[in-house]
Amino acid sequence: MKRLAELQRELSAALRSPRPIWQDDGTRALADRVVRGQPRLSAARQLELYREQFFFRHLDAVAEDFPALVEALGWDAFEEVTTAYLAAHPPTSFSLRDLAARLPDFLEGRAAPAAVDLARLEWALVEAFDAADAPPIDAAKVTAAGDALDRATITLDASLTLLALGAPVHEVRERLAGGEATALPEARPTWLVVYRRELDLDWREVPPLAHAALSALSRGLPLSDALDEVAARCAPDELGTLEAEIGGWFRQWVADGWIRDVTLP
Amino acid sequence: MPQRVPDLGVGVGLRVPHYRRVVDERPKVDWFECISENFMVDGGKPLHFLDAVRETYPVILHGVSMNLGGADPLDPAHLAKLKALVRRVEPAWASDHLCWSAGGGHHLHDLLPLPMTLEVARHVARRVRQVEDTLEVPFAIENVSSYMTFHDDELSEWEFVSEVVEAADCGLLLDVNNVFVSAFNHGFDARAYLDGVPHERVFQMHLAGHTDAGTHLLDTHDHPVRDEVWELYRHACRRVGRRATSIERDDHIPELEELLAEAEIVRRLRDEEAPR
Repeated sequence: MKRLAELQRELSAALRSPRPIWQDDGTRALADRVVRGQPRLSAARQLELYREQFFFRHLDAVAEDFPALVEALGWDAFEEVTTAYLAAHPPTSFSLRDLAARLPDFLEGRAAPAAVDLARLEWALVEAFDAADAPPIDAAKVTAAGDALDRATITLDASLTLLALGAPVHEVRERLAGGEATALPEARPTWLVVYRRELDLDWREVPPLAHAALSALSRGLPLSDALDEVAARCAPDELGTLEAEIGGWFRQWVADGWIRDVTLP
Repeated sequence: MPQRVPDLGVGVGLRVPHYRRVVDERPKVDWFECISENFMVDGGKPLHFLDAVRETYPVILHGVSMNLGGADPLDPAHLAKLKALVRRVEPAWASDHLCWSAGGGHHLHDLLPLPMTLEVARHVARRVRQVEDTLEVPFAIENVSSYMTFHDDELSEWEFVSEVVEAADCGLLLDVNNVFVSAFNHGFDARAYLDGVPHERVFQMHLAGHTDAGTHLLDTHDHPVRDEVWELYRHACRRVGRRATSIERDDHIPELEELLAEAEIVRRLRDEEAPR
């Protein structure tokens, strides 16, 4: 099947080209060499139908996952940067779901920082949408752990993504849902948790210390080590806040389904 | 001897805008067809609704990106996920397309036509057998619509399809709209195509709408089934017999009622042309 492999490799490259088949000597020659063509449609035009579909399909798929980014950038800028993304990162997964996994990183330096943040938020929503289901933790298990909870490792819900953003871009999604204009917001450090509750996607701003604690827990640190890590980075006036709030935060995380299990040593 | 699968009756493609209503209202339709890849996920809404629909209806899994005609090796991760889904859904059969969709390691997410040669038919048949052996459920391949043919072609499309399904010993998902579209685009007789495929291997038929672009037809799945395709379906029923048939709509998805109305037309035509 060497001949078939070579044919498919050549056609694959031609169909992913941003230039129409007939505007490129190489792809036009390929079309004439392998595609039969017919009086109504030349070989190049036949191949071009598939090349156009490649871009229509993939632009639509990305736009569906990044509706606020499309609104914020405008379609032309979105199309330009996404076309460049497809050239730099051709699809390697059988599933369109994975298509834009690297788009937020790709946008770094190519779009405004707030647009990059918005892309990170929208990709986190894609991840949360079909993350693994898990039963809620039994609050009694947490209570029963007693002092041993300090040494427990905490399993966060698979849908959770912790985002440290330079602007409150979640407000853009909220305005879009309300049918309002979607200009990118002014810079303001924002700590966001994106998650799924039952089947519904949601996000919440959290204090930076809570974000840091969740981040440490997500890396597998036992609870006490996670809190020590956060405390070591705290400004002196924040230590009291951390001590006063962590119990309430933890109970809220359990209630919200952000914590799925505790594993005692 | 081809495998036997049940005539499930009249089905509709399950699409996101209809999930809630299908589960809540249990509309009058015999079965649903699901795009396999949309449910090869870890959790959340897709699997929740798939399980809920499965409680009431038979579900058939229809894939779009197995790359059966590709020269790249079949993707073991894809196969493993499909097998897990098959175990979850327990479909009467699963299907994918007679096409290639990835080359040189890159996916195109399209249903691209193959050079219609005996060598390629045997290559595809080997891969279909690999899928069948893995999934352990009856498996069918669907004829695709196409906008181009190759200098290398040495068989008619229906000869090519027949070679593959016979060599693979698999089922055929006969897409009547695709036959109509390709017949127009390539200037062959759609009825000769329907007459020429092995009828005993047809597990299922598909119906969908297309777009007339003047010089060619596009298989857009964004319109109701056109009158000419209904006529062709009548012919298919007469020649092939009574087979599970589903309506596909993938863009400009209308209210569920519109699809259910088309499903009722299918039911009537099946009864008229291929009575029990």
